[in-house]
Amino acid sequence: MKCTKSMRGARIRLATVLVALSLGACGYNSVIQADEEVKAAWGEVQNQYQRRLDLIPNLVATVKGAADFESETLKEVTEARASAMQTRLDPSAIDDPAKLREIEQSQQRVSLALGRFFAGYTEAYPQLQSVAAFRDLQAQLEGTENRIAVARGRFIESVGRYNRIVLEFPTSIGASLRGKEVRPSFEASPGAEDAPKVQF
Amino acid sequence: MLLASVALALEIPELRGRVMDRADLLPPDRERMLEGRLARFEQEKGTQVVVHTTPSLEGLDVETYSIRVAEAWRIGRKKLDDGVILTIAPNERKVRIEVGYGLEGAIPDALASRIIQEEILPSFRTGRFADGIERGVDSILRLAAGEQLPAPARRQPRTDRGSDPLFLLVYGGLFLFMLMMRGLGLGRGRRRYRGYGYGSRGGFGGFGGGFGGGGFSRGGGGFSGGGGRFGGGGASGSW
Repeated sequence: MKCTKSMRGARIRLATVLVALSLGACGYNSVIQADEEVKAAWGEVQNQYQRRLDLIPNLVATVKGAADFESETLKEVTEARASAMQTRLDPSAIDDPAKLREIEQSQQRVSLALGRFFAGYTEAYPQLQSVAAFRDLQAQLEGTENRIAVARGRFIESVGRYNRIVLEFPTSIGASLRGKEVRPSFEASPGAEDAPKVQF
Repeated sequence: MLLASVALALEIPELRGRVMDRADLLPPDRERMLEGRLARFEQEKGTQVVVHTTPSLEGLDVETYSIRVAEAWRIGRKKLDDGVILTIAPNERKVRIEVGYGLEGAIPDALASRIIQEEILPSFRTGRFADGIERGVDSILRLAAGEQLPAPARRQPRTDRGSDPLFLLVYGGLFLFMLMMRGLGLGRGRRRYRGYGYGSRGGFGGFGGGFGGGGFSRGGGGFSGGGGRFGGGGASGSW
């Protein structure tokens, strides 16, 4: 049978669509979207970590304004913050498991230091309870801890979804075509649970 | 907190109205008045505020419980994220104000905390739950009204179907069927293809609502969440 030009053109169009369709089913696009979601989730985690670090100087100033000394627990908060500031928050950290772990640990140290401070401040600073600015800061820091917890949880889930696309057939095909590999995540382990929530 | 595994275990109550008094703290007339008040507020300002009393936090802390429910109910307008959920758990003696992303300016954590401490808990401590809830709602509405947000538009039906697997299955199957039927005529098919994957469906539909999907907020009574998102802002208290 003579192969007319329009038939050949039509076959090429058909083949193109079928290839595109298969790629779609093989995760070619969904892996990119999942990757973008991981980056967005990480951005949010970084935002909240930074927000917490930014609040701490206010806390220290308020406490020292009310009582002219620094308790051990307050000093630890300052040191934990300084240490966390050195571990630069970085969009590319999600590509590097060691860097991710470093960030997680330094931020965890801040959580624990804040938790200990708020659990025991009434002993060293009984007058603080009646200082409105202090109560407001405490509320803000509790709020930030919660936001961090939510952001971390969403980040972990987004990495989980992304990794499933990368690892499972058939989407693993598209993923490897895009050069996408498994990503490291935070550990949702008991040690990583945020500091004890202090309620009034 | 192992948020992922907990999400599977928690059964989210179906959203039926702006006042979900599952712990039965409000007498019927006050519940009706409150519901009316919140409905009028939504009509005037567009912002959705929901009161949720629950007999149990299902073993979770109030922050985790509250955000799980918020993610499922999606209170607040899509993209504006102007929802607030006041959660009261009388058996665990916990209360929380969950503030959507869009209201974090008008209701910062410090003010949410003050509302709880100064308006809500004093009444709760003497067992006057309805009083405490009403005073809390008063303050929340006052603050929410102060936020500069667009006036309510006519409410669109939720068309966010990007994360619905059944829809994709049907859609995909239909597309293949059409492809076969039309043989070589591919003009329409090519346009449809862009809708096949997740790409064009306002992608983030699946991101925040992964647990509840669309089902929960389509409950009866005509009230449903507007698709608002929450980031964990707000404050908690206990008595």
